[in-house]
Amino acid sequence: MDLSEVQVIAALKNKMSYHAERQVVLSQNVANADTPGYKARDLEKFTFKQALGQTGGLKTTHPNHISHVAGGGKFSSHSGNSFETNLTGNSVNLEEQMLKMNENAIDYRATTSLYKKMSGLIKTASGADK
Amino acid sequence: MDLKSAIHIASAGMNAQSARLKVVAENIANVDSLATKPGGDPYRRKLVVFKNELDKELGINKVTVARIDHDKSAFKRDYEPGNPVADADGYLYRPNVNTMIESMDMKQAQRSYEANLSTIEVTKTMINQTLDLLR
Repeated sequence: MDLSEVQVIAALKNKMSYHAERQVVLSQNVANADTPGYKARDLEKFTFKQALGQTGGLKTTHPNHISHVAGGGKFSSHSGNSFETNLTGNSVNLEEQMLKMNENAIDYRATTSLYKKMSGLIKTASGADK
Repeated sequence: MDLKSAIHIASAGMNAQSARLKVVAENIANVDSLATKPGGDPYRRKLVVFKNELDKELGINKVTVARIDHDKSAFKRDYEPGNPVADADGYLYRPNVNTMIESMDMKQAQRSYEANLSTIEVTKTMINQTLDLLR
């Protein structure tokens, strides 16, 4: 049985990879908090379509394919909507990034808990729990 | 783009910040370094410039030190004809280092370093939660 054929598991998997990618983007922002001209980036909000695996755009079916999304990830990102931009053109605000990162970590935790619950249900159904 | 690359990025950020701290230390240590010959230039304050560069091996952008610049502001000038390295008119040039600015720079570097450190902490928790799925 292929677990990823179960709709809920597939959706949770997509959400987990979204949060992992967002963590990478946010850590990039923090690392570049003092880089002149760097613009803080963030991923677009996770949508229901993405949960179903319909990311749209071009598919990358080979490791040498170049992603249509800037940064090489699966999800599209944007820059802007930052609290402030300093004189060197850097728009990273550490407090804002920390806030987003914590939010991301909490969402990730919720998703992994749901995943665990779901696999527990399947285990119960298959009788592997006994 | 997995969670491990987030750790790589954050550690590159910490590396860059410690390079900055090194330059700050150099500036503070040389706050009284005068010219070596009469009329020469004293120590000139150094500045670190960062850049975001693609690491081809990992396929992610990592922050690195782009170059170390020199502060172009004027030297402090005192009238001290008795000093052996004073120029022909009796003026002595001192380094353009302001310890107040340096200590602020140091605090800022420290704050950025800590921010990267907490990124690693958060990422580590996320990786642990992923591993917990196996249990």
